[in-house]
Amino acid sequence: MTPTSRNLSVNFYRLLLAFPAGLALANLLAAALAIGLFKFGMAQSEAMTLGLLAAYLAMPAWMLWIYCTANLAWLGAKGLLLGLLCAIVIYFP
Amino acid sequence: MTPSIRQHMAWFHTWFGLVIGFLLFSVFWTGTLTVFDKEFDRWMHPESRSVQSQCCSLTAAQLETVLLKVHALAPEPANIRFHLPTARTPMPSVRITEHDNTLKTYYIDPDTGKALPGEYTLGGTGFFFPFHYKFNIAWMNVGYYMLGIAGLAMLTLLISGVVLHRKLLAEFFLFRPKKNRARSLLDLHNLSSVVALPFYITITFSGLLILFSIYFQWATLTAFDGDKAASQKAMSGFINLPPSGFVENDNQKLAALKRIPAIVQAREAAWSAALGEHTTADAINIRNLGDSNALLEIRRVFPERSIGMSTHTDTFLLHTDELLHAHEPKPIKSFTHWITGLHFIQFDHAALRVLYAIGGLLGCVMIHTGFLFWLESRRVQHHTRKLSGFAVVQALSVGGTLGMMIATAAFLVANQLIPHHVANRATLETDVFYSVWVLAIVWAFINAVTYKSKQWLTPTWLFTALCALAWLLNQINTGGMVTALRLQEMNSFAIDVGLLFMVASGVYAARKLTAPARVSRLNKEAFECN
Repeated sequence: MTPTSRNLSVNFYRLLLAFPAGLALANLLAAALAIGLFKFGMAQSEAMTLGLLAAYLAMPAWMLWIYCTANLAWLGAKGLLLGLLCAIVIYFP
Repeated sequence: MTPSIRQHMAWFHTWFGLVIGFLLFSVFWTGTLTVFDKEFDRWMHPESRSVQSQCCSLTAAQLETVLLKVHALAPEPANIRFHLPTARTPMPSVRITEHDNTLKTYYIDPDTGKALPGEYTLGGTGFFFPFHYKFNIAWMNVGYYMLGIAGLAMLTLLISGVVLHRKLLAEFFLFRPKKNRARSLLDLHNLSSVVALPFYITITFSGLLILFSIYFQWATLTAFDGDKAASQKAMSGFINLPPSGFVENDNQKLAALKRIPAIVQAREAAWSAALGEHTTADAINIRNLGDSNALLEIRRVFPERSIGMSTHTDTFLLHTDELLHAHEPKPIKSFTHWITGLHFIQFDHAALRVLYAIGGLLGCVMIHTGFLFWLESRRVQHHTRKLSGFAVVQALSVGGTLGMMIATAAFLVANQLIPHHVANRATLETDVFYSVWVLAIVWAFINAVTYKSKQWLTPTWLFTALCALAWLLNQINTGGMVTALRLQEMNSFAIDVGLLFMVASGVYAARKLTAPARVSRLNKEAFECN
């Protein structure tokens, strides 16, 4: 495999990872923000809308970040940490 | 050595733009057409121009005439949705959904009760508009997800483009048409990107925001503890009352329908008093007519003098006139309605709509010049190394961009040529669109593989000729621009003007393409080969 074709494959794998991972993280963030803000007294529809706006703004940046990060292990660790934080907000009673 | 962020972005912008560009072009092209979707409806359905009601509200008697006509057309509907007249659609339109999910659409003359079947053509609102947001693919929401990928890709491509082009402001003023072809194309790509950058960001972000319930389905359901009904009620004011199973007789149904005009007038008066200006309903929805749980929704979705798309909806239990829910969006939700309203552009401002269309066309230019730059910068290299990628990308570029434009023009010509009495005429029109598009792609591939020249010139002339033919046929069939001016029917007049603009642009582009290019010997060799 030539270096060029290896770079091409790696970049395409990154792209394939970036989209679903970005969307999944954005969904987690939107839900966590909505639930968190609702618990702090904001109206449910307003909290959800604010969560969605934040997630929409974060999503393209995340995708590029996932795509640009060379170290997949480090990227996975950070993604898991964020996912864990969101899951605590969502599922912690 | 680890590549820099800019190198990452360069690769991403070049290759991802190439892969997703075809999808983006079709979204931008149909989006531009959708700016004038209701105008296309008038142009493509000439008989609907003759139904004129007093713009833009109905009297109680007129509304009752329309409702009774709908009852006669569909005595047992699952859902009836009215759109009340506006300046752009000067007659009430009705969409009736039967219990087997078949859909019928009509325009109804509120004075005489005469109904015009909407099946004559899908027009702009039935074809270009759904193509813009779901590529006319309804199966498993695949079309919506394709659009989501395209939208997110567009946002990321814009970000990566900005990172790539550090001299953003300088590129705004830089266009060197006399330089070599690749340089000129890159200048044009940069110029068309920078000049409308805020428009692209706004339109892409707002487009994605509209479809939040699909892309953020999990988040929305989770935040509402899995209660879909509660999330729909809170987010969009939608109430779903299941049918009780108690079916009412025909007289009870008629009595319920006859009460609607008074309810609508009462709500309009209440809205006007609350807002301090004359306010009218623009849509009425009746669900499960005939069941004792029948619901009446009165919506003020697109106030013409406001950018924000409103979801002020009042929902009544039809048979008791009981107000179940009056949906008033709160400030943050209202802000998102303002953003989505920027995308829907239903406000009453013709000049702004033209600016949107120019923005959309600039987007098409940006995507198309992106393809052309990719081709031109690799022409010699691919020719020297005998790589086949050039031919594939060139064929896809021709078929995906010009092919789509030709298919659109063929769609309009088919609309003018297919006789009125032909069964499934609307389906025939769309068949023409897809057939021509596929043929254009096949032609482009054959041409690219057999190294024929005139890859761009022939389709450009074909597009121009089809636009001219569509314009000419409309003049012959309906009297065209002269009749439109005489009747003050500016909707179809606008489409005729647009077609003439396309003809002029096509002629200009074709003349430029026939001009001899100043290229080097190697480039010339590659040019002739490819």
